[in-house]
Amino acid sequence: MKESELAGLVEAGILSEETAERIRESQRRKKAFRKDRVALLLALLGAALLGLGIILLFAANWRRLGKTARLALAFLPLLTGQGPCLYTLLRKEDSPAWREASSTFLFLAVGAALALVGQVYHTGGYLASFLALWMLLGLPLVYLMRSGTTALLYLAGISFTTRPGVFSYLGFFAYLIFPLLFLAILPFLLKAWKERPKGAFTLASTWVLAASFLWALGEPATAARDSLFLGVVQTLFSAFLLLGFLGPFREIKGARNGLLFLGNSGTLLLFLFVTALKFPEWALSPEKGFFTRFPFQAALWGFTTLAALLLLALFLFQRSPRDLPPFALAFLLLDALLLFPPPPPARTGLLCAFLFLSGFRLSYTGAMKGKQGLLAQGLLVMITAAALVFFMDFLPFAVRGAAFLFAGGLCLAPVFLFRKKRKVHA
Amino acid sequence: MPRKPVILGLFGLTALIQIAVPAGIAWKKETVLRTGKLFKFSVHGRDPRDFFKGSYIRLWFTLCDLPVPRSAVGKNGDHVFLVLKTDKDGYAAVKAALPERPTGAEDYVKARVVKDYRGIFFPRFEFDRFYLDEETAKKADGLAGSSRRGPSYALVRIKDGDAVVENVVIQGVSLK
Repeated sequence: MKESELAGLVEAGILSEETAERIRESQRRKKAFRKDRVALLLALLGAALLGLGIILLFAANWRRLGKTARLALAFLPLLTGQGPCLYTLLRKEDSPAWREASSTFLFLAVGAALALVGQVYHTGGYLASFLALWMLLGLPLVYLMRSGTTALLYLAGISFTTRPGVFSYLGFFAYLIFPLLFLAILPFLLKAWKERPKGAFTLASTWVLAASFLWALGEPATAARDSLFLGVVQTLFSAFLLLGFLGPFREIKGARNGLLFLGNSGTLLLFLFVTALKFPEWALSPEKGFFTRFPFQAALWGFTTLAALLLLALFLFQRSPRDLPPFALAFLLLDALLLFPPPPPARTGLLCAFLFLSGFRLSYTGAMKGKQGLLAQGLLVMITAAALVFFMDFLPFAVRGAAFLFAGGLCLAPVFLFRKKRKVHA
Repeated sequence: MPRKPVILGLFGLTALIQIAVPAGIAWKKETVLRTGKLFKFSVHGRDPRDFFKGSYIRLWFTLCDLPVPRSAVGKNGDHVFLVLKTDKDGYAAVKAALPERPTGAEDYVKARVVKDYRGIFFPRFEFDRFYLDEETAKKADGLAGSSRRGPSYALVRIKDGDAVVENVVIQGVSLK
C-alpha cells in the first residue's frame, strides 16, 4: 500500500495512526527480506559462475604456462576460497548470502584443484572415484558453513558413485559407497527440512533428491537392460510419490514438488513405453538365471522395493488410505508382473487397466474436492490409457469398442460431478 | 566449550586437508617423474574430452594386446601388478602378472583387471590419458586420421608401481 493511501485512510478516520505505523513496519520488513533474497541469489550465481569459469579455464589446458605455474593456478582458487569462508565464520556467520556464496566457491575450487592436478600429471582414473574424493573433501563445508547450496551440489555429486566395479578392490565396501556418502549428509538435510519445511532449500531438495536417487540407483540398473531396470525405476517413482506426501515435503504442493512431479510423470511415461512399445512381450519375460546374471541389479531392485514398502507403511500409518496417490502402488503391479508374468495380452491389459483406474481415481478425487488441476491430470491419464487400448491390435474390434464405451462413460462421470458441485457452490 | 572456536578449529583442519590431498597427489607424481625409470610403451590413441579436465588423448597400449590367462591375476576389477621388461625393439613388455605387490627389485606397474568375454584379461592402467591443449588436441586428431606412418608410443616414468606419462608420440610427432 502506498504512503499517500495510508495517510488518506488515517485522515478519513478509517485507520488509527498506530495501525498505520504497524502496516508501514510490516512493509519495511517485507522489502528488506526481498532485498536479502535477491542479494543471496546474486551472490550464489556469482560464486557458481566464478567457480565454473575457473574450471573451464583450467580445462582449456594452459600447458604453455609451465608445470609450476599450472600447479600454482590449481591451488590459487582453493586458497582464495578459504579466505572468504574464514571471514564469514568470523564476521558474517549470520548472513546467508556470505555463507552460501563463499562455501559454494570453495566447494567448486576443491574440485578444480583436484582436476588440474590430475591434468598436470595425466592421471586417468574414473569419474566416480574423482567425484567421491571431491565430495568427501567438500562435505565438512556443508556443516561448518551451514550451506544448503553445497549440500545440493554434494547430493548431485554422490549420485555418480554407485559404481561397485570402480571400487571393487574394496570388496563389499564398494557397494556401500553411495549409501554411506548419503548417510553423511542426512543429518544436515533432516535439520534443514525440519527448520524450514516451506523454504527454498526444501523445495530445491525435492528436485535434487529425486534426480540424485534416480541417477544413483537407476543408471547402474540399465546394465540389466529390460526387466530389472524397469522394476528399479518404477519402484523409485512410486517411492518418490509416497515420500513427496510425507514429513516436510507435504508442505510443497503439486508440480512444484520435484518428488511428486518426477513420480507422476515418470510412472506415466514408463507405463506408456511398457505398453505402447510392446515391451511386455520381451521385457517382462522371466529369464533363466535372472537373479544370478545380474546380482547387483537384483539387490538394487530388492532394496528399492523394501524402501518403497516401508514408505507405504509409513504413509498408511500417518495418513488416510484415501489420500494414497494411485501411482504409488504402480510398483506392486510391475513387480508382480516381473516375478509372475502372465501371457503378453494379459500383461498389457493389466497395465492399461491400472493406468485407467488410476486416472479415474485422480479425476474423481479432483471432481469431489473441486480441484480442476487434479481433474485434468486424471483425464489425461485416462486418455493415455484409452489411446493404448486403441493400438492393442491383438484385441478384437468389438472388445476394443466396448472398452471405449465403458471408458467414455467413466470419463464423463467426474466432469458431470465437477459441474454439479460448482452449481451447488454457486 | 564455546561453539565458535570449535567451528574455527574444524574449518582450519578441513582447509588443511583440502590443500594436503591434491598437494599429496602432486608430490607423489612429481617424485615418480624425478626418480622413476623411463619405459617406452607402444600405443595407439584417440582423443576424447573430460568435462572437468579438458581434451586428452586416450592411450590404448599395444602391450594390452598380449593377453595373460585371467586365472593368473584374479577377478575383474582387482588390482594386478605387472612386472616389466624391455623387448628387443626397446618397448615395455609384461614379464609377469602378479596379484600381490612384488618384493624384489624388479620394475613393476599397478593396473586393474579388465576381462573380456573369453575370460582373458587386459590390464587397465591409471595412466591411460595424456591431456592436451586445444591446439595440440586438433593436431592429434589430424594425426590419428592421417596416412602418415611413424612410431606411436608413450614415455612413462615408473617407480614402486606408480606411473606418470612424460610424453606421447603419435605417428612420429611429439605431443608435448
